[in-house]
Amino acid sequence: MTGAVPGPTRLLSRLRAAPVAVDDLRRACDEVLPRLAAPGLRLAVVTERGTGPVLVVEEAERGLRVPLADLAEDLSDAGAGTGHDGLVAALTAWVLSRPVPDAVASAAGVAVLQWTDRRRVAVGWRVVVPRGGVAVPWTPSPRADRRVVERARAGAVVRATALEGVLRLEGPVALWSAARHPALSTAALAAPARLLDRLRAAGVGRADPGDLHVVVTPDSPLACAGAAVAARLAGETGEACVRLPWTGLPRLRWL
Amino acid sequence: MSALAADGRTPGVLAPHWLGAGHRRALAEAVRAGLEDPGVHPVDAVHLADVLTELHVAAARDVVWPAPAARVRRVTGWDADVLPVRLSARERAAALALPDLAPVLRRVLGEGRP
Repeated sequence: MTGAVPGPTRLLSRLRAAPVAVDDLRRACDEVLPRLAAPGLRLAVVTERGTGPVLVVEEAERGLRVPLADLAEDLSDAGAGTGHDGLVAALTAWVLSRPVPDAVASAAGVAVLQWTDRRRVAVGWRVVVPRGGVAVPWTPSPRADRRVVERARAGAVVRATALEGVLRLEGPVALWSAARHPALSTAALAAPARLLDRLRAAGVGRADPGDLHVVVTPDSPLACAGAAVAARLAGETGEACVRLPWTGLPRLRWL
Repeated sequence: MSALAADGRTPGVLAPHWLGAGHRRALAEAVRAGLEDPGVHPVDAVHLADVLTELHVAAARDVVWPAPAARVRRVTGWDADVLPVRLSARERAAALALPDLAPVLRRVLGEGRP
């Protein structure tokens, strides 16, 4: 071994996270899957000829079968690392983000604002299901017809309207966060009149809807303020957000 | 409360000044005292009011988007209550012109860091 300065390749290999081993992932499954058990949800590792162990996730019409070797590769790319705790956290997050069945969306969905696409410059309404602090969006299955979608959306709006939240004032800025699931904070905009009443009761300026703007970042608390203050708030953050006039809220569409 | 520059336009380029909770409190008290001075120039009063607004907005930004400031604090080792307070050159000048501004705030507003 010499004391030579590492070349670019060696530096890169030091920066790159070590790959997740299938055996380590198998042990993480043994710990995580029983903990995430729920009625109607099947979580198991099965052995299939040719592919080795496969993680099976089945819930109503949704089903995933992922070879552990492929999942280990995906988790490595996501930087899960080789530490047991990190791997358990990454696997837990992966299972929690599984697709939402139609019946679950219909029974427990909540209407929130989400990005319209990856450019993150516009938002629209989606039905999401809260799982472990994350809001998992529902994509209707191919067999969900218009009536199923409309029923799920209507129920999600009712649940969004009923969500309790915490209002915090920072001078001219009102910050609204959903009490139990901060990722659902934008649900309050499903009932803007109710939120406006809360703002007025808290004495937020005169809470004039003609001047009021709301700064929306999906999965984050809402910020409401007069137009100029909202512009200052949203204009000086490097984070993606959308600033909407209060009067424009009814024009937001379902995605 | 105004968030506009005296000429009615947006404040222009805002530069971050990293202030801890104590410094933010002291700056707010000094600005309020300056606004209560009957001799304060109307244009300075607008800029001082905007400094007060920014102190609130800085705290609000950290509630909605806590990650960016947390990353800076992690790298620099600054205390958990240190936030970027973003001021225009005119707002900063109006604050620095306050006669009773504490020397430590003068230094912090001059250097931009705690």
